[in-house]
Amino acid sequence: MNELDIAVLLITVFSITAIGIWQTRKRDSLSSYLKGAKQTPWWAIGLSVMATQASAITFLSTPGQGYLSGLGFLQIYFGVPFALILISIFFLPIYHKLNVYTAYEYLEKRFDHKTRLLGAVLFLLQRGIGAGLTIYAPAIVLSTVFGWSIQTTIICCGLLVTFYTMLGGTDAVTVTQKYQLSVIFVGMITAVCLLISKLPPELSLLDAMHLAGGFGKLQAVNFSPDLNERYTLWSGLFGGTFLMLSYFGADQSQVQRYISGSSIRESRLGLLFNALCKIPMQLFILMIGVLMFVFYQFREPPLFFDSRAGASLTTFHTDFKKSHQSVKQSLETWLQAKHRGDTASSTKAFEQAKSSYLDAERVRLDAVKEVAKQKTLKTNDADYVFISFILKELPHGVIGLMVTSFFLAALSSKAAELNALGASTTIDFYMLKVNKEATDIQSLKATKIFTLGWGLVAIMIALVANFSENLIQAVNILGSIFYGVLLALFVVAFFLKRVGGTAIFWSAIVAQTLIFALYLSGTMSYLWFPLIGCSVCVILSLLLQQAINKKNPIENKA
Amino acid sequence: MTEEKEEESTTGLPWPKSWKSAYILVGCNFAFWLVLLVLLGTIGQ
Repeated sequence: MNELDIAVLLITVFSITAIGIWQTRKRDSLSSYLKGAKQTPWWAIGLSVMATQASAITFLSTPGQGYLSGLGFLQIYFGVPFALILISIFFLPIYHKLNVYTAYEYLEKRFDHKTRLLGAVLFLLQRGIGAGLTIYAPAIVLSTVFGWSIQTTIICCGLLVTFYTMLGGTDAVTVTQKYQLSVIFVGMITAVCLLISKLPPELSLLDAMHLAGGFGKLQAVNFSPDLNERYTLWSGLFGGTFLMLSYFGADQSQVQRYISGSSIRESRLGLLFNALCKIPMQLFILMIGVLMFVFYQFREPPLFFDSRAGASLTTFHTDFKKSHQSVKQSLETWLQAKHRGDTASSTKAFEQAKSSYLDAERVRLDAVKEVAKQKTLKTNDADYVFISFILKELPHGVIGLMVTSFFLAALSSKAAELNALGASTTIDFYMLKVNKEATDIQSLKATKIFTLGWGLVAIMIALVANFSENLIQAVNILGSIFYGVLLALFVVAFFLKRVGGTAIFWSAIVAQTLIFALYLSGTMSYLWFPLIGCSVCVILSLLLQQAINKKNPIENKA
Repeated sequence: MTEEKEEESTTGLPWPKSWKSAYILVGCNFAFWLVLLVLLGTIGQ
């Protein structure tokens, strides 16, 4: 990065933060701090919901996922439209009618004290660790690539976001997210345009798609019924719907975004906007990876994108270079034959290119095995693919814009998380257990202190974090472990009126233990966890309630 | 009360006007992308 890139980064990040603080400076009551001024229109809610989910990991890691594995990852989002329709119909009217600050308040109204606390604890645990991850993820990549100190990157990024979230509350999050998302999309669109312009001139976009498809990168839908396969149509539709239903319906960081709408209509439109846009948006981000894959068939890619592995892989370079050279030559022959209409030669050359590509892949996988021997590095280098491309291939100024986009994405999702963590700690613990008679000013002060506290916790988690998974998957795995049971609390609350607090509370404990065991056993794709956690919890609660009713028939009748 | 009821039943947009139509639109949008993705998977095969 040169001076121009640093100027773009600093000016954009600080001006958006300043605008956010200035526009929300008069939030001096608990209600306006946690729910905003209740003037947010549907499109701002929609963007805020989108920005909360799309963290820096989405923009850094997803293109790498597309580069290495193609479009299959998109299936995780197949449940989003259905989940958001269900939330619009069932969850949203209840949250608005009860005028709650947190989703877990409803659990007390419907069940009891302990179930509300359990819901809040599950959320705080999951989101607290997640907040550390959202700050760690971009920091580890950016610090590796730019040679910055990871500790300094985590602390600077963490303190900045904690500062403006603490000052402005919900509206500060929504206002800044609006601008942040605009900059992010400008950055991503610029990257795509430049990427396309860098493809060989004789290669049309249709040819590029043919190439990517032939090399297996466009297989977005997998119909396999195998439970062990991570991304299939079925795990996406069924598991994904439960995952997204829990995330959007029971995770305070999202609930807080859409209950700040000026009316139920605005909130609902904001959710449906996301239901329409989520799949095309993720497809667009994954397609960046696919286009990078096409680009790197004509330009030698790094053997391993995390440059720290470089020195240990020198023995593989000659073979990799040879195989890649063969791919390139075959593809050039393919293009020439295609353009002169020689189908037989073009088919032969394309098959040759595919065979050489498989050779190159074998060398790469051997190199990955070598990386695995170094315990300090991750074998999955998907997180480094996009940033490596940006630094090597894009001009200065655009590099600054892209790095700014990643920073803003990190800030936007982190701000929403901190805001929700602060809100839930105040409403579900402080006002419930510590200071029941708290005045509005005391509660507001407590929320700000808790927001600051969670910001510092997230920074500390990020400073000691080490994840073996690719970042975007680590986030989803973490959510999947907790979300099923959290969702079950709400499903039972909404639809099974005969189940009481004790039955659901103990069922939730058992179901959560089962999910931990399943995760540790590694027997199935994590996308099934929310569905299993939710189903087990619901069924158990029904059985347990029946047992309680049998034991105390008179008491229950009364 | 009437305002609240109206808000419940209409989207306030020129189109789609009812929530039911909005949900159908979301479902059709998903079906469109699913078909497109299946077709995309056949390119180059």
